[in-house]
Amino acid sequence: MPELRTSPPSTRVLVVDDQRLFSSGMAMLLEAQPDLVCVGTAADGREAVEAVRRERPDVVLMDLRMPVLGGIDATRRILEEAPVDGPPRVIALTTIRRDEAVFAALAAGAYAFLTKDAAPEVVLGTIRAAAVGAPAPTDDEAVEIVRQFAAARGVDASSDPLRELTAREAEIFHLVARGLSNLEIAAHQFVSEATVKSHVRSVLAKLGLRGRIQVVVFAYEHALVQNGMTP
Amino acid sequence: MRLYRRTMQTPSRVLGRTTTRILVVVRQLVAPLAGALFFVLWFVAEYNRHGDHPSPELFALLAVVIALSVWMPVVAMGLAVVVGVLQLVGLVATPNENTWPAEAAVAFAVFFIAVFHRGLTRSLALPALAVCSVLFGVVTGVPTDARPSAWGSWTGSTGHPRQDALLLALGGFGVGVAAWLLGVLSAWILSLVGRDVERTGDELDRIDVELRLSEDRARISRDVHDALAHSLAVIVSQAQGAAALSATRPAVAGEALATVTDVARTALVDVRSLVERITGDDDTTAPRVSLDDVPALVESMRQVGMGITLAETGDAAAPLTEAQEVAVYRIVQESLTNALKHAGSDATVRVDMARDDTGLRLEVESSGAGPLVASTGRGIGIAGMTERARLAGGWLSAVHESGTGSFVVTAFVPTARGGEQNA
Repeated sequence: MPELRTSPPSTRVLVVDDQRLFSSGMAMLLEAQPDLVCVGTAADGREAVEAVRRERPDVVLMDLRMPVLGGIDATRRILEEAPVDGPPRVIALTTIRRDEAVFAALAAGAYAFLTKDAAPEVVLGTIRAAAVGAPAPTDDEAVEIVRQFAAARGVDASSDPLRELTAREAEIFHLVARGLSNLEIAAHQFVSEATVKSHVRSVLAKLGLRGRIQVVVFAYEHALVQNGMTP
Repeated sequence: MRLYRRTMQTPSRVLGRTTTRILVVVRQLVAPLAGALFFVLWFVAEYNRHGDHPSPELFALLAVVIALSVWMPVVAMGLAVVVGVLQLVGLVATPNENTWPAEAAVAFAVFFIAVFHRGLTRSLALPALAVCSVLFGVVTGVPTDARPSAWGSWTGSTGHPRQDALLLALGGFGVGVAAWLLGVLSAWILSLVGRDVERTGDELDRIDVELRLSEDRARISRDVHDALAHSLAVIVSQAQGAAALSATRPAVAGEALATVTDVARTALVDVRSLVERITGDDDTTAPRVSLDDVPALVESMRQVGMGITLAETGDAAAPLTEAQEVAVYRIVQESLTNALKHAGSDATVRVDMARDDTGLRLEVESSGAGPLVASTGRGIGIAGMTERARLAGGWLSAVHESGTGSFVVTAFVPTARGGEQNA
């Protein structure tokens, strides 16, 4: 099928928000993009779980505060049924940036987050990044949010959570946990960005994590970082 | 203003007032009760004794000395001296070998004076005590024809009566001074405890007010979020959707714009009602307050028991705007509420409003027994008053004058003409 190779399949996006008008506006934005398609909207977490089963979206835009079933629980349920390396990848939607709910969503496995005032480029950039598992434009902020709220959570004191990793992978893990981008890590380790990417993929696979933000959450939950520094 | 209405009667303040009231009652009753007890005990003791006749008038007089010591200390000590003199001239019974300790009544009186009085009154108790001691020494130690029995015959002392008198006078004075010092010490300890209780009460009040303020803040931010964030999120989403589709599907874009208009209009209504709710000015049917309402406000605060003097001077040739009059009224109201809250219901307040062509100058000076707002740090409400004055085109300052212990709020609201002249 040569035409499939020339025009890659569109990224399938599900929009979940209890305000229908918000979802419909978002759907309009998605429809205008040649590479994205809105496969449906849902008004609460339960509808979202059903829509994911039915439509198999690549990306779910998930509002956090909804009736019936909230966005955090819906994220958890959707990801329970999904393979660790996606799809779908969930992007949490929030009105308040510095919100514990955002941290909870990231801890539940959300790939990234978006505030509802984000510019269209940021919205679309984050969706496209989530679709292919690339770093999202909001990653730096997400790391900050994890730092801010992770301290309040209990620490899992299981012995050496990084025992599966090679020495090089453990180094990469600590750098990702500090919020460094692939490019920064490449410069730091004197290797190519592609090498870093492959190491990060391997770290994620071995630890069963969905993305770099989950690495940060994991590092905080296992007390592997203090105040953004690795021990 | 809603905030004040809710925070005026904080639990610790009520507790503090109750404690103060109990202390006032104790202060008024303790000396009369002690006097009455003194009389009853001595009377009963002497009545049951065989042989000797009781001397109730001496006990009564000494009981009165104790009873009056807190209420009328000068009269009490004067009476003590007079009793001594009357004993000397034989008009009042002198103590016998059983009743001479009753003269210690003067020491009790001196103790109460030292506890409850300060300054000159407290100091004058000592010379009065000295005079009483000398009289006590002479009356008790030196036998005369009228009272042949004295210290020497009661105790079998072989010393000279003059020597007995000197020792008795010195002994009496020593006991009195000890009582006085004990009183001073008690007063000092009481004041330390009282200050601690007061400070704790203030701290509790401050925490209470701050809690309520933060509750208010949390409620307001929730309200803002509910009223605005959702609408604005929809507006952003619809507008950027419309922009994205405007070229390819103008009909859909037009629909989205109509939605944006509707949602924005609803949000505007929401914001207005939200602001009205937050400021508490939602009762639009109530008549707007003006400067003419200030006397009625002052009168209503007087009924609480506050002593308020209101002086309005100058000629209002250039009128203030309605909004400015509301601001001045609210500043007066908040100042009086503040005074009530921090200086107690027996606070004295002076309200001066001076008008001239440049504007209105307001001064509210309050003083009272309780601590003033600035003495415990930031004054809640001062920020609000300052803001009102600023919005009215003027300024406001609130200072705690440590010298007089009073709190002074000064504000100026310029007339349109005065503002031009200043600018």
